[in-house]
Amino acid sequence: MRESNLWQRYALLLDQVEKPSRYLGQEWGSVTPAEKEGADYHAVLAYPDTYEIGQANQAIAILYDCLNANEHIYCERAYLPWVDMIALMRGNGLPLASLETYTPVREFDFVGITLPHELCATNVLEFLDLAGIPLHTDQRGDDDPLVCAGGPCAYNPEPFAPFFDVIFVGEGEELDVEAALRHRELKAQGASRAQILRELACIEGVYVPSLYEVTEQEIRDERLAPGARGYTTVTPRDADVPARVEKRIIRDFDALPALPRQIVPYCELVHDRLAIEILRGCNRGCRFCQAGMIYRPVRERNADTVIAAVMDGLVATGYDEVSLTSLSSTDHSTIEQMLRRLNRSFSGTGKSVSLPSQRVDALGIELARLAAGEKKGSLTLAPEAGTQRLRDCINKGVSEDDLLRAVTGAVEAGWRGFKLYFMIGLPGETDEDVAGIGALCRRVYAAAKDAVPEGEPRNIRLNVSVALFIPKAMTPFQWDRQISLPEISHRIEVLRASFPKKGINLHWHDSDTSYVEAVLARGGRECAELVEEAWRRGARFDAWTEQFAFAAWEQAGDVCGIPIMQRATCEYEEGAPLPWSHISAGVSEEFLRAERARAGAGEKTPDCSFTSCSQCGVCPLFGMTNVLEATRVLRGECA
Amino acid sequence: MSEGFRLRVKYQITGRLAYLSHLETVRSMERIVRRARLPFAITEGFNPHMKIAFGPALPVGAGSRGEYFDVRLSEYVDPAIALEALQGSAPENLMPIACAYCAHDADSIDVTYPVSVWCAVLDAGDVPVGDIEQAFSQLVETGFIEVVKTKGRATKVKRVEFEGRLIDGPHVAAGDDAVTVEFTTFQGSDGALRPDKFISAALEGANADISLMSLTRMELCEN
Repeated sequence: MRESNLWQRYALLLDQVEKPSRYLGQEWGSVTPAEKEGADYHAVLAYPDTYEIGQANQAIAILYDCLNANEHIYCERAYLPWVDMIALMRGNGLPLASLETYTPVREFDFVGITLPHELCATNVLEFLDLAGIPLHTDQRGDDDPLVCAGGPCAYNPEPFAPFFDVIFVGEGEELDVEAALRHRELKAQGASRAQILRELACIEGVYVPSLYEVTEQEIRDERLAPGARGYTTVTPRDADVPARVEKRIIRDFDALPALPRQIVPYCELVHDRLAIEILRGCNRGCRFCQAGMIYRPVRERNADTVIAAVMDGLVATGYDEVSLTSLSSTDHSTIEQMLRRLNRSFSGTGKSVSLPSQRVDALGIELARLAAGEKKGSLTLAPEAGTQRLRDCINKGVSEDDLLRAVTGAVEAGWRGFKLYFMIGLPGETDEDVAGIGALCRRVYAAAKDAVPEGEPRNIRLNVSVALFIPKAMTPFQWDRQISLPEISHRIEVLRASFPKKGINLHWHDSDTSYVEAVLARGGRECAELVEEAWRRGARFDAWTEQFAFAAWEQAGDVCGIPIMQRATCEYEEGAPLPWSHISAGVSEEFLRAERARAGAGEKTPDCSFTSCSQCGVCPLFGMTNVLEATRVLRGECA
Repeated sequence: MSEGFRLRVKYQITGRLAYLSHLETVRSMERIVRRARLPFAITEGFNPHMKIAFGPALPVGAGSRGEYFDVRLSEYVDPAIALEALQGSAPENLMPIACAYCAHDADSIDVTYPVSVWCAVLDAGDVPVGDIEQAFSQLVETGFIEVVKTKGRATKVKRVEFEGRLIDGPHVAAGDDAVTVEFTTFQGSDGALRPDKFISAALEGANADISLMSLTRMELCEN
């Protein structure tokens, strides 16, 4: 095992590919074999996309650090090569290898693939195939690695289920290490693959798909053609396998290292800066948002810990920018204090601090001034819907006044560029709501121009991005449907007509990718057949517009009896078992149903990290509560 | 305002880091300077950044025994101490090897060192060295190469004359396992001869199974 080093063979191909720096390894901060001489268990963490996307992923960085912190484990990384390199590798019979030692991925003990979004599904197959690992768990033998998955898609793992031996549900800092060490132990004892999988299924947060029976459920929706397949649900084959896999959670988030080992890339990444996670979870309760439901409860990191991590991280990496990351960084109870301290320390050094996106209501003038310090590029805000009625339905909890106040405050603080995110196709949406997006953006644009101090050029840049609503598992809208193509065309027309011809840059997302994403987001194990068929028909890199091949998906849908458009536009029945009913993020189904009903009634549900408990069910299940550094203070109209 | 201290750093690019693009090298070197905690000066204005300037770009795939950058320091640091700090912060294959201060008003690196000495190592298999020499001689006699540039759907062919740009060589020599080709180029304000394109044009002319194993800038020199 692990005798090969394929670097010399890869090196011969580098002259022929775009961005050879993707494949070099040897970055500052990567773990070298010399550091892990005593390790006898070899893991590789993989991201099913190119280096510049995957290396920016914070989960990979955290888990790489956790696994390598154990003396028995040497953890490396692997990414999917770009299409030019894939073609050369296939032409030369060269298997996929790790970055640190250029060892073939198939020679590792443990291959952990993160599943960041549904559109990476075909890339998972491309990755396994390129690595020479059998695609299906039931085709793998004792000499094959343990192929594991984790990440957001683990909360509805079924479209990926047959491709993985083990799926980790929840936060991986403890879980991945525990599972890897148990696997090491069982291998040393000579356990068979079947025994290993059974033993691993006993670990809290581990889902072993092959130990579950599949049943097909009819989807009772007239939009689905007769003969089209329903979705599948699963139940354990044996009594000792958990009927419901609860997510793993880190209770003492602040005790985790705030600065995991940092790898400094040569190749420019999508987010090429130091990233420090300042809080985990978001209880704002936006009813379309999966992340807001699956990462509860809120856990804040101490301000001193954050500042120390930023300072040490910038010195260790040589970056000149740090991003304070989380689902909603402006909600951190000490965010202003942290920004003020960092800006003071960065003054005159060329270093800057940024926030990934700002809550409209939380962005006061002071925060707008503090975010990004001396460098002010473009400020991103997400009102999501064009009218107050619809914003209340989705529980966005922000008003037009909040938005106008945030934008004018930001202009006064020096910002001139704005990016606004909206969605169309939300449940209960009317033409008036869609036209409201344009009307709102006109008012924002005018308010921003008016806020420019006299004597300065009024060159406000306003980019508006409109995405199609995609119903996601474990959200209050999980039963809802996507709108159909004619509905999309009509709403885009209404949207375009609502915008001025000049001044505001309007962009909307491709609906075909959204349909595929929607089918997989709510699909059962039957969708694994769809994924495999689409991949065999040439689909891969589906998240890359220029690579996305919708025809391959449509043909695969026809072959598998899962017509893409029809399935995406089907409503699921409340009360019936769902494809992900055996997985739990802690939020109860009763809560999700109640939230859906409140959406229909246009009622808002407050964020429990600011006010009282909203009865989502997470805290009692895990025996914990929100962990806040100080009392959170509501800003904006909700205050 | 004080102009600070202009530190000129010489560095090597070796091994697989020869595949970095010029921008990747620049970004990596800036990070090395920050990790070394040198007291670098920063520009003023909307987007403050390190005051640093690099010499001529290397083609992707080419290594170097001596590239240069100038970084402005706001405080004096002993060059030996600066070098030690830089070396402690650099990966093995992107290694600073010398530091010295130069005058504030000294010419830029491009102007100071317009001459590049190149060494290409070829895997020529059984091809006689004479055939390779002949291929290079024929190319030199032609007097130019044509470089195809593609941007989007547009393709542009640029003719690069050797006169004034190829100032010595090529000298072809047979080694134990490989053939080496040494030549010297001049990069002025009207452009330079790309060494990788020069080699590939000659190898195309040789019409034999010869591959480029490595290309190295041996030295950047004054004129």
